[in-house]
Amino acid sequence: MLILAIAASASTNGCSTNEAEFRQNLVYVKAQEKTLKSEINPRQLQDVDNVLVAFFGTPDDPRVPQVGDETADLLSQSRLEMAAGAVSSNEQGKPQGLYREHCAHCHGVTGDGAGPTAEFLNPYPRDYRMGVFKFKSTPKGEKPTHEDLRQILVNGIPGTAMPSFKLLPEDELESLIQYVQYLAIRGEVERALIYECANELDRDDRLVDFDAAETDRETYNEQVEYVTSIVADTMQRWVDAESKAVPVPARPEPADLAASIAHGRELFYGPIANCVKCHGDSALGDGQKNDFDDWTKDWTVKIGIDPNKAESGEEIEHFIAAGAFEPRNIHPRNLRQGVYRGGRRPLDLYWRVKNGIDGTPMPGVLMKPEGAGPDAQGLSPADLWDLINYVRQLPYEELSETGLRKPNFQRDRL
Amino acid sequence: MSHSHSSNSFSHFISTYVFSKDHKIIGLQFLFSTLLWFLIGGLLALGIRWQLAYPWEGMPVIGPALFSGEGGQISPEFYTTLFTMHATVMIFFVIIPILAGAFGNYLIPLMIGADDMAFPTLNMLSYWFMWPAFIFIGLSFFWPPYGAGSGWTSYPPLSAVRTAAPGSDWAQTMWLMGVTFVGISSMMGSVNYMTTIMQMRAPGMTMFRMPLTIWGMFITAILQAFALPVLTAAGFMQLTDRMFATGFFIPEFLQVNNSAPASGGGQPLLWQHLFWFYSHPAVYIMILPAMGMVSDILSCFARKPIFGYKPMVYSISGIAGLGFIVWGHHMFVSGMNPVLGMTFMVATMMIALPSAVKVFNWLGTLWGGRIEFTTPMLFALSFVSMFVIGGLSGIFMAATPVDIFIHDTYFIVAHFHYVLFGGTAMAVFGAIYFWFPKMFGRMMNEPLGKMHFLLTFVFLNGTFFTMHILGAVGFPRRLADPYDYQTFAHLLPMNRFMTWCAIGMVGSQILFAVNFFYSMFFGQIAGRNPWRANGLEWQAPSPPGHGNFDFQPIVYRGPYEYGSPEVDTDFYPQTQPPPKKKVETEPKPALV
Amino acid sequence: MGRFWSLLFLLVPVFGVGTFIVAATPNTLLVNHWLPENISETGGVIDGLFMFILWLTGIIFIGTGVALFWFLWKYDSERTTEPVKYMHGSHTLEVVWSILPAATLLFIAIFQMDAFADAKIRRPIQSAGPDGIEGTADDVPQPPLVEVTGRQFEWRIRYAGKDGLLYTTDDVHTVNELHIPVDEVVVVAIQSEDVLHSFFLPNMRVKQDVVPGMQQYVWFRPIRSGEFDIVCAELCGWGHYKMRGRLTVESRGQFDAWLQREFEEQERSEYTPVEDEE
Repeated sequence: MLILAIAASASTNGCSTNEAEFRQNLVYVKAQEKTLKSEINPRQLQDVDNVLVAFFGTPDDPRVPQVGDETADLLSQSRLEMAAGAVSSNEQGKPQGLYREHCAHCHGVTGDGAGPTAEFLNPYPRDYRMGVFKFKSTPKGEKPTHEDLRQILVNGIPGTAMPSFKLLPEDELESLIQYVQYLAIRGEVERALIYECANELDRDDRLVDFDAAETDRETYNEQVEYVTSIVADTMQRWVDAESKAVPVPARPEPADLAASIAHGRELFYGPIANCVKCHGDSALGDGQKNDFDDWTKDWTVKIGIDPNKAESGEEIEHFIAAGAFEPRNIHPRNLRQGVYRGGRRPLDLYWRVKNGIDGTPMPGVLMKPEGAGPDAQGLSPADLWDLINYVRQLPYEELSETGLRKPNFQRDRL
Repeated sequence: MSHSHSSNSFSHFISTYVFSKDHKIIGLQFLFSTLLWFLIGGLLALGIRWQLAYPWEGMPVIGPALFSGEGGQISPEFYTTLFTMHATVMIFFVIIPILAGAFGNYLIPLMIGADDMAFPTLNMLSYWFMWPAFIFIGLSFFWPPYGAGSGWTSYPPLSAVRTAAPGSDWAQTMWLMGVTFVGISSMMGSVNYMTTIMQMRAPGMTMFRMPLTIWGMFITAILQAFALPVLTAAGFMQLTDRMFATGFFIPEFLQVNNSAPASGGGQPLLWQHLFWFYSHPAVYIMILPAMGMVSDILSCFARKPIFGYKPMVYSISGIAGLGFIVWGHHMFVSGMNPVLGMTFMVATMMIALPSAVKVFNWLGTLWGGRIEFTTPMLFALSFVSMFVIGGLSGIFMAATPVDIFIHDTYFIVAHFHYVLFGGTAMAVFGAIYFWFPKMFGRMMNEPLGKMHFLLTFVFLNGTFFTMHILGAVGFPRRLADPYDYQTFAHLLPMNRFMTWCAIGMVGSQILFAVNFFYSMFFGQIAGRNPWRANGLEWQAPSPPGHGNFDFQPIVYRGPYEYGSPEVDTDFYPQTQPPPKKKVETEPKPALV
Repeated sequence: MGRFWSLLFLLVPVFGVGTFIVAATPNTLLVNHWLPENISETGGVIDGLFMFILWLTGIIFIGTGVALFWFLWKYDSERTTEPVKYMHGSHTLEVVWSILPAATLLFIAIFQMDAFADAKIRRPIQSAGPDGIEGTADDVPQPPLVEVTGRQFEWRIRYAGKDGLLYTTDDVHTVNELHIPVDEVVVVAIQSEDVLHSFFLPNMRVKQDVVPGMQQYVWFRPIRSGEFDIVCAELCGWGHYKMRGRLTVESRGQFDAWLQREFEEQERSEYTPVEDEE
């Protein structure tokens, strides 16, 4: 009889399957409730959902939030439509549903980094909903630029399960970048709204009372205006990021590379950069291994749960049931492997060291104020380049050879 | 029997039908279990086909049930589970046990004139040891975090490193346990079959008077006895690799998915050698009994002696012998020493020879006969026709340079489906139609059976023949979505065609299920020998009672004396005394 | 009914051969449903062998298929009037149809050994070594132009850079993007970082599993420029299908220029924000 069922539904060409849904950020709700020590009114959470649908639409029918001219150019409706929806192709043979074809297995339909494949991956796929991205050109705390996201898609992230999408046509890449931005903005807005409900509104208040559109026009407009401003602010930060990429001065061609490396080594172990603290005495990434990334801290350390302690187990289970993944420690990079997740260009490393890495314990290094004297605290750009020169040659030191697997032939001349 | 108390009749039922030591009941238990798994395996195949025809579009039934949040779109690791489990179920739970377990059990004592197997208790255990296997493999479908998904070949490190794939965690352990239990069950069966065939033949049943079915079963039992220990050992090694980090198959410092570095020192290729040392002979385990049964059916419905009985026996033995030294042809591009590859290529080419001899002998059997197109005969004929395709496509793979190109493409998939579905599964259908009257005392419905044959035959070719073409383009196996490659993007329409043929093929089996269960209760009463066949089993009652024969069978000749000028009938049962000779000491066998 | 079933079995060779003919010849019904374009000098040998075996097996396929049909047609019990031929076989025939296939199969086996040796054993040499004789153990093998590393789920590619040495600071790294010069013998070192993968270049007729812990080489001489697929042909996990790479064959000049561009991009250290045009 199963056969019949399959044949029957086959003839309807899969129309019987459910529609994909955006999943609620339940982990964040629970985290807020734990701080609050009481439940958020379910009616308010329903309001959050309604607001999100009103601004962002659904996975099959996405919408660019209309919140003013300032942010109107950030996302394009046709791009989103190309990336969203179920996998298929339209009459012209243009692919549709790119996000679900290439990304959703890991990052989830919602962009919550919790697709079906996610929990098996190490590291876990990125949860876009905090709007935090690691590898980018802007200072810590800012959004990534469009170009930053593009770099990640094109190059993948070495050392993780994120593959390169270099071979996708340009317009498909563009659609995916915009869709990731869309999901990130949606996730941030959701968090902001939940925060609003938990901390600003009284338990009986409404976020947006859609029924009041007819009855109490004034309140309704006020509510709508307020949530619109939240969406607009969020989008504005993405627009602003485009002009915030940190300029990088060209690397000076060192007259004496050995001296530059030696100086870099001093800085590595020195008090200002103090890389040794986390990356370890041999730069094997073993200085400390107990910390967590911000996505984990968001529902653990921040609300007083320490995942390193055994007695937190029960509470952690509670969050895992809500959709969180088993917390894993974030390890500092082993700098002797020659694997650079955010790119191996000197430019990338400069950004990493200067800006730090968002969402991780990696801080930006203290820079000398421009025009400051030699006694001022901090590193100069030239110092930074020395440090980078040192780090870049680490994989080629004798100590690192086992990590590089160097069979005899590779000594031969080509 | 009606006089016993209810509690007695309950224990009677248990000992007769559940923990029975009667080879016929055990055979039927195997038959029903394997047919059920056949259905499951077929539905898994439809899942694979659906993804290849409508990649990432909502999968019917499974999509809404398991992936509703994703709009019914399956995940890529679910696809790996689908094809892993399809192959596992079909090979370990359908083809091997239906041939050896179901037909081997049912037919061996009947066809050699024994009252049961040599070791009835062992026989019962061989069935009940399948149940742990059923349970373990059943668990490996969904044991968290995910169903086993490293292919039925389970190549390490993918299978042996727990973090390498979602299904390589506990599910893979379950899978290995399951396969180990299948091995234990098969081993018990094969010891039993060998002993029974060597020791329990009826008076006059010399080795060269045995039906080819028995020869097929006999050689298969030998193959299993010699090859299985290797698989069991390899399975255990992989288990200890996974549980205790023994590192037989894992190179040192290996890191997969940022796991802790493995304390290895092993070689992934070692697994492939051990695995194929079993699994290549297993290919013959999956075909030799079918060849035997087909020979019996062909001869019976051509009403003519089998052509070249002894060459047939020698071919079966030759295939079995050569079968042990050709495993390397699965590994031509694996990284194995290519010089060794050449050796394996020559041996592999040579193994095509006995298969060719068998095909020619089957054609010789048909030549000059009086062919009756019954349902079992149609299935047996299709075995010959399909086996030719499967055999010939094997030559492409044996040719190492060509194999470089077609290895792991759909050409291979076409090849083994022609051998295992077009070949063995069709032979099994034929055998069921042929021996059903003996098993249940009733005939299966002929028109329904012919319709079942026609649809299966047409759809099977629609599904599998086109795979050769995909293979020629280089279309790789086991890809969840091959259409991103520019080389394969245009093959989608052909895949859709195949998928609809596959749906038709699975759908046509409804006819078989209806026929099977209807005929079991309402079919025409068969009598002892409905096909006017020669074999000993046809002299026993239908269905045979406990102890099988109601007389002591004495064998006077081989099983293929159809159309003999010595008698007026066109068949000449093995037990019928020759007309001109006096039979002195033995009591008269009671004939139908 | 016997006629019907006989014809059904005749359809097997008819449709079988028909399908192959339609696939292999240019027509509008099945476009490009045949061996993909060959761009390797030695790929033609493999194609030739494929076609040779196809013809050979095709003839046997048609022969057995037609014989099967004819016997079913002629000896249908409803029609045949001849008495059953009561015979148990023929020694002569058995000998004939054992020796003929054996000879053919042995011939195929020996005939193709050379092609296999070229593809997998005789790695191109750079020089004949100290003894000056090619084909001896001290030959200096041609070093690889590039190293390809399979990992879940991408091809990491490393060129030797200007100094011609792999594993030095001027190595050029790319992902999924393999460029090679046309009309030159290219040796590629292939390896795996995690599980089994298989480096499959359909157009080059090259396939080799990569095994963690083993260093292997493939070699070929591309004769045509263009863009082609790199396929992973050995199950490597859930993302097996994602391991798509692109092989670009181009002239030496273009290749060198591309490598230089990649190197410069990899060494890029300066970033000046573009001024908004507004």
